[in-house]
Amino acid sequence: MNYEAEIVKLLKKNASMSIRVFAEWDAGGDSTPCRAYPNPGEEDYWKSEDRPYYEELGDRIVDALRLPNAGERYHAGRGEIFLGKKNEIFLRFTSREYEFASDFDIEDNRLLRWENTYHSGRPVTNRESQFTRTHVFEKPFDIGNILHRAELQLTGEMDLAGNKQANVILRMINGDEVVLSQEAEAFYKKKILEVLAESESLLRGRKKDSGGLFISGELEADGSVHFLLDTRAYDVLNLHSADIVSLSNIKDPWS
Amino acid sequence: MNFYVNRVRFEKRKTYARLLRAQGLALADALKLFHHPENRAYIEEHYENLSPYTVREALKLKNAEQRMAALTLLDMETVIREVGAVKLDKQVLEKKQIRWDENGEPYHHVFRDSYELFTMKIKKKETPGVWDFDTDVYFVKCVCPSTDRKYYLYVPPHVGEEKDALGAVAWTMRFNGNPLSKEEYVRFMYSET
Repeated sequence: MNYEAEIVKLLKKNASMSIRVFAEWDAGGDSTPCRAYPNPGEEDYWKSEDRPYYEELGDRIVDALRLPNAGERYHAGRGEIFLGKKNEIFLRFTSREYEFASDFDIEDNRLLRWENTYHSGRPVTNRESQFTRTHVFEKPFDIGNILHRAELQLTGEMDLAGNKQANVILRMINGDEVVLSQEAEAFYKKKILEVLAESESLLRGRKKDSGGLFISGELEADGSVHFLLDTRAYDVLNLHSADIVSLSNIKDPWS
Repeated sequence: MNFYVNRVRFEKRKTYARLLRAQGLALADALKLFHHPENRAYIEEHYENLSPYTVREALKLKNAEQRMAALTLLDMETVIREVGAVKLDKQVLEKKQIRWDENGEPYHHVFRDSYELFTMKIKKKETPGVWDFDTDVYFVKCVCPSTDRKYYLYVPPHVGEEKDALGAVAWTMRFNGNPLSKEEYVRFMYSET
């Protein structure tokens, strides 16, 4: 189904009620989750009669941005859907699209990356592109008390210019929802940024196409986090910031 | 506030608490799943008076993720009982395996393995918006001899209608992409470890 007229009508109705329509996606790694949803109303839209139109918008984003599924390309982002003056449907979005260089050199038949352990801040050899580093939080706020039913994921990245970004996500598995306090979030982000700064030397001598430095880890019940530090290179890196794409009259890019 | 069952979100505290009751959690264990004081107070006061979530209620959940999460909490024997599943056939096989004792010496281990075939009726009117038609669902129950874990395996109607538990469990296995026949299953199973 195309639903063009119905979606235009829905967006107009939403606008008159100050309801905005957002979208988010995290594609790659064998799946292409992408959804559009109203705000307010995110909790209940999937059981409303408008659900098919939101699903259609999600499908159109998949097509318009050619979101990946299998393979080594990833594309994650979010945006807002709005109507243009001529009732054209647009998405304004910010996202990150990338593809890592292959780990394996087919022509030379050799592995391009190695794993090793980062002991006391010193790499065991000079040729690694991936390291681990353990940090123990002596006071992990109250999070340690709920790790039997939740995961605290810590990630960070640094580009070649030294710009750093830290993310902390608390994912619930069972039980009532616990929201990370701003204080706790700031605490963990500070540590992520410290680990990035301590590891900056890993980026020296890297090519310009380097993907920079990524770190990721998960808080264990004993307060420890085993950070994986990765200096993989990109084959593709597209950063979209407030870009606009049309969601009207989308053709299936694969046909 | 949201409540989670194996990462799946439920919106209502009472529903979540009733699911824990259906799972058979004692009050003390249920409390370990609540952080917020108001939730803990609610559980302490009401938990033991709440009726356990039923299989029928779980089957009526329209959100497929929630339906699956709820059913995973329920004991399968309870599911069989509540949905009124009917046992169509039971067959017991005597199996002989070679095992090794603590000295590394081989010995023959003989045990009886049972297979039970069930059917249950799914009615459209009892599961609005979930099932679009009345149908019979078949499944075969068997026990892993290594772990004693019970398995309940779906089989399609054309297999279930044969009312042969051994034939049904044979269908769940493949060789060169094709389901095993009852005779092949009996022959091949002697190679199981």
